[in-house]
Amino acid sequence: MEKKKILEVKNLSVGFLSHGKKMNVIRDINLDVYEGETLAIVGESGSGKSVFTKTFTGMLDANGYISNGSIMFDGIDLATLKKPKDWLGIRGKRIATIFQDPMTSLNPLFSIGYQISEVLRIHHKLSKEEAKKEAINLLKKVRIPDAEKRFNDYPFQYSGGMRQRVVIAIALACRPEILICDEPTTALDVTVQAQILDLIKELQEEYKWTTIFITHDLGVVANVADRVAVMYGGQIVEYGTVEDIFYRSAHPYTWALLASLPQLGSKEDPLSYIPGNPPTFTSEIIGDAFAIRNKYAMRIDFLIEPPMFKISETHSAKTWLLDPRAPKVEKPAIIKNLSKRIEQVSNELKKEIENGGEDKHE
Amino acid sequence: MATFLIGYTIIALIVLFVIFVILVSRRIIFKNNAKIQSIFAHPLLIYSLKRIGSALISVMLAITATYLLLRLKSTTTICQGYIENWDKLPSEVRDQRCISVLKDLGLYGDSFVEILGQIINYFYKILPFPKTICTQEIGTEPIYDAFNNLISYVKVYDCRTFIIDLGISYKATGTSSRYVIDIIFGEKMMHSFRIGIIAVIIELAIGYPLGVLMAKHKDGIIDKIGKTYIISIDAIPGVAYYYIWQLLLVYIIGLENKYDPNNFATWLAPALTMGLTGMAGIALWVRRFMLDEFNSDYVKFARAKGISENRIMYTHVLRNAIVPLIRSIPTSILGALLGSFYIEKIYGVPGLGDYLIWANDNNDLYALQGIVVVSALISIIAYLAGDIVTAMVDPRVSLAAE
Repeated sequence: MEKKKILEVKNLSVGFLSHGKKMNVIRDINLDVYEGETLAIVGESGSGKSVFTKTFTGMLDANGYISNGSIMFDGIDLATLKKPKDWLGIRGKRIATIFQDPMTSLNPLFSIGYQISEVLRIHHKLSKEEAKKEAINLLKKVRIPDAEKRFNDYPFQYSGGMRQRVVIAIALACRPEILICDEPTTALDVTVQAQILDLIKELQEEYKWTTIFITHDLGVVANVADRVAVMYGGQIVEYGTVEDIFYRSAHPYTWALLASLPQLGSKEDPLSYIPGNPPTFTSEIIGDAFAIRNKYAMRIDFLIEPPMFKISETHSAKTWLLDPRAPKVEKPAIIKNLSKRIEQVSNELKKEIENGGEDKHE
Repeated sequence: MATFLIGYTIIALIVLFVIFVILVSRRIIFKNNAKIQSIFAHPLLIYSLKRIGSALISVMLAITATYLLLRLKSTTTICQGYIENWDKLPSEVRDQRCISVLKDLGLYGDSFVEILGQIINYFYKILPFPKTICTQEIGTEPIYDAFNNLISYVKVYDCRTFIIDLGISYKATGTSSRYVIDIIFGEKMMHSFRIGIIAVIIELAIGYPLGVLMAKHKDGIIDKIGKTYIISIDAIPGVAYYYIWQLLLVYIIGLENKYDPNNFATWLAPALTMGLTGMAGIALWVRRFMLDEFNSDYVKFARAKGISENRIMYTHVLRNAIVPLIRSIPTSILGALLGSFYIEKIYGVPGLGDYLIWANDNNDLYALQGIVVVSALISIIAYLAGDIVTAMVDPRVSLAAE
């Protein structure tokens, strides 16, 4: 079954100018996003996940620029849009973003109602009354109790979870084709987190948008994603379906990430972690960026960057271990019987969601 | 008589109102009447009354402190200033006259009780009760008996009834009245306010847009010029740049130097000196708060919502940047009433600032005290207004006691 590509990223590189120095933060990424799917982008802090998705809405910081490549979205190359004016019909309207911290995402001085209606009035040219009606509908959609009354409340009168619901309502307001969720649940506590994830999933089913989910929480990934792209050092090092990544992962970095899932750790053993730090981009990266932290690294990893090896139709990884000449290595023991453990974890998560789902009024 | 009636009525109404508000807010009366509760137990009203109440205590302390400081002036110097031909008078006459001058000024006596009595006397004067005060003898009037025979003469004084009495300016010259309250509100304040309000308008009308532009084009040419200007204003001591402004405005641009109350063109030089100086501070803070807000998450989110940069700037950012600044607007408008003594001295404006220096030089103690009281009251109102304005623009600020 051939799915329709909604976003096609080709050879994308992003550079930053800092103190007269160029840093290549995104290095030659190729990625397709299919219509209606939920794609999770995972990786450590500093792996370039946020920067990568910011290029889809032209929201790179002032010193960042796309140095190469293209991002095709519905016949438009987003990489060529420079002026704020060019983005007006796209950003917020067709590609919406919700950010990590709902506590600060809303303007503290404007009522919730105003901030939702504002988008409707700008993008859909609704009148004040129409916008208000629609905004109340949206508030109901994201399950804000007493929507009519709370329309005139200010952000400080809302809890963190409620504010994230409002943020989702704002993103929803324009019926976007793509919704980028930049760690939308990181700042929330676990039960609220589950509710918000649930809400996003439900609304996605109704509105049929495509979700790009940025997270470093593999538990969230297992719960929401159809496909996963693992990022490291400004590159996508492995991508595939959730099953590919969780059960058949091939890149040592993905192994290390999975192994350090706290949920998988047993009570007796110390928590597993990845030693060292992600690359800083201040000097040029030679070979595989992960090599210095990789206990499976071979000599070639320090010399030549590995190509993307195709494992199956849906699954590819960028590691020399997949080269036919490479020695056979064993995955770490902890993720070997992952399927059983994952099942346990996702069961627990589901339970959590169910429990969380009952308590709608946080 | 009419003044007495009006005065007492107003006082009675104020007292009754305050008692009513207290009773309502404590839910002793009208416990279940939501409408009356929402009007008279409104947090804004209760907050204002509390603030005024506590501020009045501050005013009393300020008065006491000023009075005690004035007592430190040597009585001989004061008397010397008040008694003509001091050097030619024999010492007994001097002492006698000196005592009467000090009594007039409310400064006679050194014991604790006497000083306390004088302070309390001043409090009585400024308490808003109608009272009659007389300045000077203006003549005599014959008194007749029932059969129209002349019995004697009585002295006639120039008397007036005031609700608040700020005393008599014994040394007043060139003013139409000798009552301090008349001089301050009727004459001096008008001159100061005229200059001050033009200055405030210049300050706000240039300072705010300049700050916004500087923030919008950070490190651009406007920002660089603006920063240079702000830094030079900040770096040069006040007195110095007032003279620099005078040089520029009067001797180079050619504005009138000497203030003339009947000629608007002469008001410009002092107003511009004041406004162009004050504007620097405003621009600095507007720029700073705008830049702070630029980096906040809600701006990022607003951008992600697809809102245009201009709208983000003028609706979202500006509103947030103004909140910490708006408090100072009532202060500067009401502060305009008080004037600046430097500028009034430089341009010869006979305003309140100028009067303050004059009163101090001439040991006109009631005038001095009067200015202190008026400034203190204006500050109280200004700060209260600032709080109320802040509460109006920022929904997070609540004036409720809880």
